[in-house]
Amino acid sequence: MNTLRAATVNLSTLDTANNTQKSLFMNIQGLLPGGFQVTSVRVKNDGELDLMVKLSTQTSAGDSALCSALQLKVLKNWQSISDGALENFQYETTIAAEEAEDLVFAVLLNSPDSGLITKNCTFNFLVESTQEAGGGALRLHDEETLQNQVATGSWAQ
Amino acid sequence: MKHSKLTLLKSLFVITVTVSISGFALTQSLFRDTERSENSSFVVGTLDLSVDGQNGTQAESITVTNIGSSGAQSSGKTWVIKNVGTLPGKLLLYVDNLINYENGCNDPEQVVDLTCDNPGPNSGELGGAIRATVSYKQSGTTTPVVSTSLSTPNATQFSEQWAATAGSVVIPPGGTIEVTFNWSVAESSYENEIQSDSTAFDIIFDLKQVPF
Repeated sequence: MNTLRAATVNLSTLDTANNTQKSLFMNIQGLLPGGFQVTSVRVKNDGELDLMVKLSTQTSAGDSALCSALQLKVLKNWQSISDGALENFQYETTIAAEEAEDLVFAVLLNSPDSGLITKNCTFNFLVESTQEAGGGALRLHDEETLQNQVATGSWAQ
Repeated sequence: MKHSKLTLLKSLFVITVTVSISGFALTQSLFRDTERSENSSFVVGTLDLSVDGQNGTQAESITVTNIGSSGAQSSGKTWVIKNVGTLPGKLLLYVDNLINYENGCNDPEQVVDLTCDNPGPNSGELGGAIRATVSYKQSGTTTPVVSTSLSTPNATQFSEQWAATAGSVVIPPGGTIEVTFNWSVAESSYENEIQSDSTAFDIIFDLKQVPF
């Protein structure tokens, strides 16, 4: 008997506390200047191939000024791997088959600009397979989305 | 008196002939010989073939588990077919038990595939993405014979195309022929619908006696 079998590519985003599926990531209400929120995610490679995985920000709706003003810090093994504007976040990593990577995200607002009062910004963190580790492009692929919403409060001008 | 003489001559003639016949039979009996040939048999020619790997190594089946990765998207195998019988034979090839398994669906596959049974015989899409070719090499000349996909309905293409192109290939007693099976998967021929799918099949070589 001759057998040809296709491999699998499958990513999952899990709660770091209990490994349950996670798609709603941050929901920040009444954010003030100097305020921030921290949460974490476990990105797991559930497939059979070692993968290059890219994380990036996709702004989907809301006030563009607020979305541009939000800052993002990302930690891996408690070491900073990204620190800058939320909209510019991009991070690429290699995750072996059946392995996972834990990331800690902190979204913060530094600007006291009055134009950001009571505004909303809805954005996603995209987690996508880009290619096989050390190899070329992949036709098999997967993408997960972490949904986020930020609403600012009011502060004295 | 004359009649008596004639009767006497007839009697003498009969006696003489009788004695002569008896003497002949007695002579024949003295020189007769009988030989018995024991353990005689009619020898029938044999029609038999062996399938080996290249250079006489043990024939191996094809096993691939990583289709869809960025490397190793094509490969093949060559078998040496030898007529170990004593009669010339016409080589036939066909594919049997060609089954495309679905093996369930993971999340990415579920988005694009509505048939997610496990194992789901003949619900899998992998075979349709695999291009298979068969060629044979005899007397230093390689001849392409079969080119088709490994989708289940195409199983008969192997025997049909072999019969059309190589149907007259004869292996003499003690003769050999190399048959190569190649497979390839083009990047543009699939997406997530093939995830975890598998294709299983047998390649059958058959040697048929050439009519005298």
